[in-house]
Amino acid sequence: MNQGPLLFLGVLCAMAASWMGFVLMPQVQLGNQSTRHVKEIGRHYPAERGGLADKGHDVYRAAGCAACHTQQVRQTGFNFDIVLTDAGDFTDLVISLVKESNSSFSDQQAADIVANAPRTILEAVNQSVANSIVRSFKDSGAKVAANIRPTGPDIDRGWGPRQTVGLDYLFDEPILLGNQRIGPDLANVGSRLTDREWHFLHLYHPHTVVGKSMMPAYPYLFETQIIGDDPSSDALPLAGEFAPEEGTEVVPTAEANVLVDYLLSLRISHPVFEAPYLFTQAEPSENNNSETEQAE
Amino acid sequence: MDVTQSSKSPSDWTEIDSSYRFPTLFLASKAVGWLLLGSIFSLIASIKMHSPSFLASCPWVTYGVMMPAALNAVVYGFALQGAFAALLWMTMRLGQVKLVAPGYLFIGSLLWNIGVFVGVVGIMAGHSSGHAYLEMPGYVTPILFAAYTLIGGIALVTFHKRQVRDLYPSQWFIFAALYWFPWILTAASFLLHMSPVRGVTQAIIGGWYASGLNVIVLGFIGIALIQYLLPKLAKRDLHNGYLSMFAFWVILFFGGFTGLLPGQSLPAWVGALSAVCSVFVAFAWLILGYNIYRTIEGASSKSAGLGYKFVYFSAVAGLISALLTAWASRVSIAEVVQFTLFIPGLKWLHLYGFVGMGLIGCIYLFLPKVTGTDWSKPGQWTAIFWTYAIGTSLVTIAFLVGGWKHGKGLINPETPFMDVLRGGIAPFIRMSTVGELLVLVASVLLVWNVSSMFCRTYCSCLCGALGSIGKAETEGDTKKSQSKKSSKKKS
Repeated sequence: MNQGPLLFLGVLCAMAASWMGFVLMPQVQLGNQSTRHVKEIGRHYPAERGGLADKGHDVYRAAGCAACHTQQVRQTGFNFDIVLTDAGDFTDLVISLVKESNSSFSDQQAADIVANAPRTILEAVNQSVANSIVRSFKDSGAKVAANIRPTGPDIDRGWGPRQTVGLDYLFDEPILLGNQRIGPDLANVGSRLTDREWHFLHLYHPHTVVGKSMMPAYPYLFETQIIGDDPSSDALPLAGEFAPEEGTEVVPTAEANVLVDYLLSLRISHPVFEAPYLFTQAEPSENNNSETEQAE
Repeated sequence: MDVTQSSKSPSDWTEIDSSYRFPTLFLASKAVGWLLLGSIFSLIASIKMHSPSFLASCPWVTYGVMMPAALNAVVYGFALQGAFAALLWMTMRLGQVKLVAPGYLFIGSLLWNIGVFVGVVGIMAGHSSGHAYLEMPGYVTPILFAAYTLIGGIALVTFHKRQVRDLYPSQWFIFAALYWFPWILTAASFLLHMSPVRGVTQAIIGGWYASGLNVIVLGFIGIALIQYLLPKLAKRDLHNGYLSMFAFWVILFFGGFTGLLPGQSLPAWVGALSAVCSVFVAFAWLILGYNIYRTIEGASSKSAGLGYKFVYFSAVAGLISALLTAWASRVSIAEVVQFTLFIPGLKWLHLYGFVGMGLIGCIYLFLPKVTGTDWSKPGQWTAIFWTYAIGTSLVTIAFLVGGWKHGKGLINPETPFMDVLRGGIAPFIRMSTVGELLVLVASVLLVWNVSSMFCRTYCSCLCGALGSIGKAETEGDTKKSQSKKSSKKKS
């Protein structure tokens, strides 16, 4: 291998192969991806972020938030919830089938389920069990549904209802997936932590809302100003060791405002074709407080 | 297959080495300067991990800014710049050829440093592009590319003019790296900065760039150094050139596909392909390792000197890094280590342990040769080796072990997130801070030694120049008459 030109040719082939593999192929596969109508929410997804949230994306990028926060929810698999949606007319047959499907039910419980359909018969079963149960109900006149339930540690932590897929990042420029979880995942933070003021307090000093947080404070996103004749409605409700000097108040700057706009716009709160799950409109709002305490 | 490094008379070497004196002093001293700056940034970032309120009020030094600033200072300022110095030296030595156009090389290196400086300041000012390893703002790429055109062009012309036509294995690696870098830099910069592609394609192209830069460009210079210096210092011939050739082609064809772990929000085939290719690269590394082992088997490291220790450490770190990367790309392992400190652990092992160690060893060995003076305090170099080696090992072990614990905590939803951080990884972060402090000490010593040699060489050269002004005319006359004689002989 002493010939420069031959060596060059080899290197060129290798470069071309690598370029085709990881530049051309992904572009061919995903380059034409466009928004898609999602029937669960009745509109196209994803929507372009508004101007303010887009500016917030810039603040997020410049401060390097992605060094500690990912925006990727992983899903290791899925299982099924079997729900009896419609009991049909042959009640006795259906009751016996329900008992067959879930042997832990007593006669009375099975009868209750059939009487009060839709009710869940079985939770978190694998695909083959779900298939056989659905098949067993086939000729009974009753209707059962096998609802997909994504599984995985990230989903169990409540970081998102499903895995994130390429479509979720269609309008992210630049894309900030992150590769470190020194802080929690933020892919769905806009649905998990909906309180604007909580985010301001957390950015001003994380210890105001999360006691043991490792996140640095971002005081430069806030201004301390002298309280004039009428106090600002945006002033942060700070108390104790975090309170500003008397006669002054802490208000978020424009940067903090757009950053929180951006954080609240981060949502993966409905299914897409690649990552289906049973979608219910009612978002759990009463859970927010307990989650707030857990989150960093 | 030529595996011997042919020898030449010492007088010729002096002529060849001295043609390279000032550009390389410039490159090497700036490279270690960037290492120092990068170490300071890493240390600040590391301290911020356990005391978040440290320097909190300044947007220029947040953790998320310091990390990419440190990475880019080390990758572009230290590793790539040091790699340019090393590859030019190897090209000249192996080809027994004088450096062409040292003046342009100087301009190129100056431009390169301006580019890196603007880039790092840009990151700190909040202009970071957000793509790992390419965080420097888009407006820096043209400067870097122009600088590289000069540096790489001079390297290629020097390579082309070589007196020894047969290629030694190290030269293949250098040659490939020289072409690979401008290619990935322009392609990635065009598709990420100038006319950005959409969505996750950006992440794949970013990963493609990072793996090309690490495994092929920096990795190949590291391998070239190992294959050049270890046999030379052990006074042996390379065991088998065909094994090197096999490893070369395998890493060349598969190295560009590594580094994207399975399980991210990317198409599944990306992670799968990447995992398979990491295994191929690890296999090639095993073969390289075997080849080197057979080459230096039984050689005494004491007689080979301190430089041997540097390069040996680099070879071991490179091998471990390739094997760990392949291991971490298995789906069951990737599930644990993804998004944890394990990934920066691999980065430290590769960048500081393998590439950095090799480059520092190379600087230690070749600067005295090109300047014609010895290190004034050789004892300090022993200190540099040990502080750097221990520091790098501490950081790597802290991140790898801590990262494993981090991952085990993350995949267990029963463990509250705060416990994963506070109880799980905090002690390891403290350990890594100690390691980074040691690396900082090593880089201070390194800067001190290299810059003192820089000053000494310039001073002696200046004195020599002043002294020789009087003689210049007479010398000029004799040269003219000599050249007339030689032209007569030729005709």
